Amino acid sequence: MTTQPPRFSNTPSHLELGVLGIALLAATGTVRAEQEIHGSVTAGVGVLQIDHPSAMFGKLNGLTDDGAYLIGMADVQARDGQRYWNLLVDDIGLNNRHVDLEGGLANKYRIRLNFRSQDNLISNNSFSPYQGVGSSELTLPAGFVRSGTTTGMTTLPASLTSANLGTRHEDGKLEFSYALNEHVDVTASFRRYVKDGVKSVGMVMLFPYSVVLPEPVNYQTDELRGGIAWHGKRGEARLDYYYSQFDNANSALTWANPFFGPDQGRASLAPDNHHQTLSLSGSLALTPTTRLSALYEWGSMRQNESLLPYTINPGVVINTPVPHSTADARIDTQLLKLELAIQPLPGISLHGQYRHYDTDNKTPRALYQRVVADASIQGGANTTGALYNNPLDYKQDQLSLDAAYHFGYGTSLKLAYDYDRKNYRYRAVETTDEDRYSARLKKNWENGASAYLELGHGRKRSDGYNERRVFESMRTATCIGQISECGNFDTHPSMRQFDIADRERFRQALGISLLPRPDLVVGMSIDRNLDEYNASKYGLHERDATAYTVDATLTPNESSSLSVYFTRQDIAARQRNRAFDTEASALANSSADEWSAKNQDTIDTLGINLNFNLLADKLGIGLGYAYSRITTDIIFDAASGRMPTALSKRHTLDLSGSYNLDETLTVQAGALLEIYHADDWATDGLAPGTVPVVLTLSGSTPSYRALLLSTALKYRF
Amino acid sequence: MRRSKRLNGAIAKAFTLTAYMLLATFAGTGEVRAESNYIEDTLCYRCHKEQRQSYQSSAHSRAFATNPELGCQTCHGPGAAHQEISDQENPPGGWRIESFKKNLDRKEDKNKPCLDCHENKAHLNWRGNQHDLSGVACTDCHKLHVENDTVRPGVCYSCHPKQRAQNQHTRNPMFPKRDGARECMQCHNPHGGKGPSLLAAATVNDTCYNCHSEKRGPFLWEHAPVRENCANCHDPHGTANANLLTMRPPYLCQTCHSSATHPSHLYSANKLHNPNAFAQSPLVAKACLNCHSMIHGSNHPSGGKFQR
Repeated sequence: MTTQPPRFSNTPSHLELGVLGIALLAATGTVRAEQEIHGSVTAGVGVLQIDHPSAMFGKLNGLTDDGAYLIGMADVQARDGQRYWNLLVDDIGLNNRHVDLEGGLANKYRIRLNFRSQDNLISNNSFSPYQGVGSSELTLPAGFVRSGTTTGMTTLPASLTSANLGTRHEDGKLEFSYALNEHVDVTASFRRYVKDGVKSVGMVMLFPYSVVLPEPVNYQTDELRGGIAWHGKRGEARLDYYYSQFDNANSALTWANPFFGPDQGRASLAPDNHHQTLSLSGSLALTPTTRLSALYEWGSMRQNESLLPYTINPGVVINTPVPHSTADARIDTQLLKLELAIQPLPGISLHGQYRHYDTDNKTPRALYQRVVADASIQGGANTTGALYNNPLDYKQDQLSLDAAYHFGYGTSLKLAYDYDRKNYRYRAVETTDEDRYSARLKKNWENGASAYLELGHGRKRSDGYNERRVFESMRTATCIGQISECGNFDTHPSMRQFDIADRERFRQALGISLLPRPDLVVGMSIDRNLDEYNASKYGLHERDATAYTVDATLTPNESSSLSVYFTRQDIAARQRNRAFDTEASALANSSADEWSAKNQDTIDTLGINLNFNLLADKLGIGLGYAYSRITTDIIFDAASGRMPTALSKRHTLDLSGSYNLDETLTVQAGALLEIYHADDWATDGLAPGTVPVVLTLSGSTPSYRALLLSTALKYRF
Repeated sequence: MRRSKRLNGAIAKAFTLTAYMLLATFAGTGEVRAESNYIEDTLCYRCHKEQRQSYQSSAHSRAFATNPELGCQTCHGPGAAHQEISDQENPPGGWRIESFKKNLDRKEDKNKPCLDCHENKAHLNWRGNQHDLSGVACTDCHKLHVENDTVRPGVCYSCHPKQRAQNQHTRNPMFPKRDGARECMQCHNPHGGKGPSLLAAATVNDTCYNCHSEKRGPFLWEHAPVRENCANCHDPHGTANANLLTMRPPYLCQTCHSSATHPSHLYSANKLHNPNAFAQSPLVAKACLNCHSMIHGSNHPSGGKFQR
């Protein structure tokens, strides 16, 4: 087997060529002899040397293997009185290139073209026996030996081919605004966003026999925005429209089953959909220090993809067909926001806001007599396999009151109260209410030093958690009456889903910034967020996240600076659960099968940046160092074995220099050394066939050591 | 909808406060500037040669080009008093001009010249937003005497160090350049947006759908916490886990799910190293998502358990 990094062609796409073409025409069409044109163009070459081809290094720039690339950048401005255009070109030789052209007539019109491409490489050590990677039909090679476990698939090793994962993203946008007169503006924009490539997806034929497959990604999203605004001396009113259309070239993924059982499985993929909003907003200055604002937005998300049959397997007898031919899914939304901001006295700011957000799910509800997996049978209407789809929605009402008082020299006190109520359909609670209070005291001293202290507390309460409400809503009355057939619950009655559970939230933050010398700033801050779920017998019990930061910046003169920062984040989540194999055993009042775990993430981040000039500012030197280290430990209360520590760390050393040959020419050079290492027990050592019941796809992320050298010439004009 | 006493009480308090605010509002005073306090901008340039050069390349210079009354003093205030003392080294009482560097304690004085023209469009909701109430001045983030007034890289991180660290995480897949600012504004409107936490869109999910429209649905089978808030499972600023998840699966899934057999079991190191068919599966590769892959919602009529 050979390892090849995922690669996307560096050839410009149609979208990219289109944007560049329009940009060029627009730029040349507006250039006139009398225009003042200035800016810079940079061209050069870079060379990468890396010990292991790595999707991780090239995650966002496409550079994965030894080789050279072109450096190309431009920053050009042209002006003729009020008429102007600016062109910005970044990383034209890389796959994450960016082009931005903006021009217009100040106070009259503005046109902007923006294009950005980016590779999101995921894995360069993935292997799969499947043929047709990138398509919606994955087949196994002729003669592939199927088995009950991967170890019995004797032809698997010889069948493996590279199936590297990653997507290319291309984002092009055209914006236009025009002032009809002194008071009225119109705006319009069009955006096309394309994702293309392969990612991974798990599929199951019958638990626990699953396959991780290469899923085709061929998405296109088109967005259209338009608006008209009226501005007056004391206010503004706007009407805006937004339309977004998502198209997936693949509506389903068919895959050959490598395990025993039916020959094929099929899954639905992300459905085509569209979203539109219409919003009306306005703001009125009642006095010079008082502003009243309002926003109403209506939105609608729709999806009407054709529904697949219950199964692709002709051996499964379907007594009851799918109740609808298409999804006909629709969620309407409404947002109402009213704000009043006022400064009744110098130094006092008051702000009140009421916000209502409402989702109305109009998707038809029906009983789906599912074929749980393609190897299953279709049960009757009154069995656990038959479920009603629940059109979930919620309503939210929020009231916020804030007051800020600036007193003395540089001292301010900010107090805030928020009330948040949510009403749910088809969830284990109908209503949650939360009150949140916070206070922030800040002091600035005349020499630039400052300090702040922030405290906050929130309490969320639900109206009575009842998991059975959801369980019953998804089943027929007859089924519920036949407990032995339908069971008692979908999740343990004492489990509390944390997003709707009772919660106490605490926040404490403290920061100090000192200037021991006029050119030196030293700061430190602590930021702690604690969520407690004391009423949850099972589920998340606590999440405690604290970040400690120290930083310092030395600026001895305008052209020299040294900055250093270090942040440690400690994030601990404690959870409790109970192992049970039958629902009857779960309801027994015994704590013998209970377990708890602590998930501890520790993250260190260090950054150092040094910049200085030499030789009468002709020579500029920059030195940057970044370090990030993450460890995850999962510790159990029982003698069940602590999970191995998951680790990832990265060192990045970046040295850059520039020398001004004269007023127009600068030579640039750079060296970047990056060292990456990761240990992850979920993927390390895994190859397709390692796990008996999961035919995996990706192995571990290899560590790498990469050296990137570059040199370029910058011409200013 | 049943309205609680607490909500009624909160609304009553809000109306009372609003009424007070409205009454207090009309006590506000306006400001009248005498034309005689203003001078020709050419007089400013006699001393401020560097500022002249940088101003003339700025967006403000373009915008002011057709109106000779607009220029230095539009932002800096009338310059006559300043000019009178311009030959002094340390004039008693200060330089008598708005420099945007002084008055550190009174950001509203610094913001007023900006808001006089810019309290509209994307800045319409500035007053009362978190940045305004926290005392952030426009010039804390913006440089005006420059060619293009793009926010300086990393400007957000000067007040948000935790997000700076998160952006540098080894597992953060989000940003091609690790220098902040423009990346932050792909989701946030620092001048005040429709959504919470200064998000430009109405909700967290609407923000995510800007780039992840494949997850928008609506789906035939919805996963409740996903439909409401992507941030229930993901932290978009960076986490210790793949895919910006706040915890690793299967433990993340087990904070909400506990049903008979595999969803309720403890998955420990003993099971990780046990090739028993049922033990390893939820721990390795995509963990729970080896089977429940359509966790953001399924459109398959048999997708009630998000398996396809």
